[in-house]
Amino acid sequence: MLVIEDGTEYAEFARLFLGADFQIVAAQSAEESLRVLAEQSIDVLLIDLRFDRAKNETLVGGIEETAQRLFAGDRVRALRHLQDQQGVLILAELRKAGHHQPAAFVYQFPPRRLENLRKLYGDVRTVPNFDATALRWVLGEAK
Amino acid sequence: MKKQGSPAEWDSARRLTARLVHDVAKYVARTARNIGAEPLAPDLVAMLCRDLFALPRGRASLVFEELARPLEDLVGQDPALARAREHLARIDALEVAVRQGEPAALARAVAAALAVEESVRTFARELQERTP
Repeated sequence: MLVIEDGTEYAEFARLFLGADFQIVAAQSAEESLRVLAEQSIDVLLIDLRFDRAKNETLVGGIEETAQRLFAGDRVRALRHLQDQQGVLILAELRKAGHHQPAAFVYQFPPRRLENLRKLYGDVRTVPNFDATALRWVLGEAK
Repeated sequence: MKKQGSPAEWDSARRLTARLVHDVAKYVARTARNIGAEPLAPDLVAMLCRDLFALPRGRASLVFEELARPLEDLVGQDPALARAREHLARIDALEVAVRQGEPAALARAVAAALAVEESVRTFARELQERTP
């Protein structure tokens, strides 16, 4: 399992509660994730959604470009958007690079958003909270 | 939320609520949700302590207040948020005993952590239902 997050909480949780089922590898950015995926055989991805602790330069999506495209030049709102949606933006990068492993989020997406994510990025699975049993179940068949 | 709230206020309320769910509810129950009735190993006690007293942005009760106060300015006092606040106060009061790994304190803190998550998620659901 490749755990992608801007801190260490997901990886700690995964090692303690999912370590018997998965070998855990961690990455903190899209770039690092791509490096891991190039070097190791990964069955599933576990991705944090919000990356508000990551350095701006490691975020997927340019602040300026996002500000112009979505927020009438407002860089503050653009950065907030990039941080809030970084997990999905990283997944998009991984899919673009040809990595189609099942991806799990610990997040309760609204049904229409989830449907849209699956249309765009294929195998996307979710659990609403850090529930190891539920995660094991939604990822079980991917092992 | 007051029905007459402006779109910008609703937007702020939704954003603060999403952060409350992500930054507090989800993380405060990260360990609590996954442990059984058996005595906790030291690494699990340490992880539980991080969830309750040292989240990435600080103590759970403080992170909660940072988000809940501006949220309450927008939506008014809410019973679910009040319940979450009470449970967080209980958790803080148990800190010394929890850090020492006392089983009774751990059990109470775990129950309170799950209750915080449930209360915040209840608030989030209700706000979503009221969103115009």
